[in-house]
Amino acid sequence: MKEHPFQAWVEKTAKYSGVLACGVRLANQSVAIKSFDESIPEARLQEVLQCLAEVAFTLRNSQLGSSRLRWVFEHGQLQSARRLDGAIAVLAMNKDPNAAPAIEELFAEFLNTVSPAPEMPSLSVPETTEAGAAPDSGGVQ
Amino acid sequence: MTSPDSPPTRSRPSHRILLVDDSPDFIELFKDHLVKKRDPSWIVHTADNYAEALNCLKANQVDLVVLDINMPVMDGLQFLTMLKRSRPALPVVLLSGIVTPEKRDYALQHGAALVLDKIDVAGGFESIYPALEATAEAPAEGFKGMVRQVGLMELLQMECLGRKSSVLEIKASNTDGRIYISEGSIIHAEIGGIFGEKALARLYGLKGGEFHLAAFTQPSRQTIDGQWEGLLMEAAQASDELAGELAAKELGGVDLEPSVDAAQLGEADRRIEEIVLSSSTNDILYQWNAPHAERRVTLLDWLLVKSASVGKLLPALGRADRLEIREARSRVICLLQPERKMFVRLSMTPPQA
Repeated sequence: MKEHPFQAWVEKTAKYSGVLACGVRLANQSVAIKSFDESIPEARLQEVLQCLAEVAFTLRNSQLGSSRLRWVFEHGQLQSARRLDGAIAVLAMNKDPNAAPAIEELFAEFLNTVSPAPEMPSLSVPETTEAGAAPDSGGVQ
Repeated sequence: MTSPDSPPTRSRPSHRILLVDDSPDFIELFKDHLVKKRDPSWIVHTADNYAEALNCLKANQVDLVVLDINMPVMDGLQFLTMLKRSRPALPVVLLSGIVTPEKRDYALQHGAALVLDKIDVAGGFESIYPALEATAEAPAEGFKGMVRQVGLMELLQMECLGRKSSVLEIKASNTDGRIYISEGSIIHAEIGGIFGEKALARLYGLKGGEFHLAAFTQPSRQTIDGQWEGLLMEAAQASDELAGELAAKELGGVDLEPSVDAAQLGEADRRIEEIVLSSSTNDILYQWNAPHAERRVTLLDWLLVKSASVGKLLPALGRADRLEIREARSRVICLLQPERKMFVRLSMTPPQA
């Protein structure tokens, strides 16, 4: 079975402080996921990746951009980066203050990784979501 | 219905309160603590059913209604809804034997200024007195009536939006702080020998304590002159980082470098381009330079739903606070809290070489 183009990157994140789990979702919807903390099950992170793809799609349609997102929660955060080819990486982080340089380093590598073109290009997200149609938020003036 | 038994004895305005509760013992306890022991200037009307409460409101001017949720015939939450329809500006504090999150959320969404656990109230009147006083002192219009249903950051936002002048005094377990607001601008903050924006971040990061608004007095110096919206957002971000730094120092005395984010923010020239603030019911509370404010509100609401979905998938992360969108030359911060949502767009100009 062919290895996911970002499998090595996903595995590599294990050695970085503050990373609880990580994942990459390509435009063809194939995913590579790794969890280093039992509170972040891989199956759940896959759903989160789908959700992030929807959010990125909506923000992009609203001309707000989506190249870097930081979703801050009470006890941790989700950091995501999006490549021009539509691949999205997410890092589930705790609140380790030492993590910021590591995030930048990891995402720089993710953005610069050469990956083959998706075998079955498709829309990265459906046009509607379970919460209803994604909104048109007005764009940037 | 009983008439007040404690006429005002001071020259300053007294607080007129209506307590609606079917327990004579609790009513006596309440009066005893608030009026006899704490402040005789409180005028306390009482009613042991809702019909009496309505009659009392017709006959008397009241600054605050304190309402027991668990009453016979009609649920207190239903009465709250009814009361708010006819008197939207009247502050209502709800008491409940058991405050479930659902009840609390419902009450706050339907206009309650404060929801208190009745057991805690009975055992600790001292702690709720300032809250009731602040609620009763709230003007009929404006934002101060929301003092206790929102957090410190939202209170600051409301003071700034209302172009108020005040001093927000914060008392935590072992330190006191102050934030000075002059005509809607945050001009000074201080806590434990720290001043300016760092103090604002530290104050915002406090996890417990009490705060109340005092009349404005001129601070000894002005340490802040930024736009308040950006300051509050930065304070929220800095407080997260500060909390992490403090935790790390406690764990191992690590010498920390500033985060990349903080360094970038510090060096770039930031300019706020757009602001939209919306309520729990998606009403626009404030907008500035936002020609598509309604669409922003729709987006915020959608993002809040998405945040809740993520929170359910990964409960270890806790409740969502905000989503930040970073582009090379812009930053969007979406504050995502059920009771308040905020959209702020900033442009970032890198420093000149």
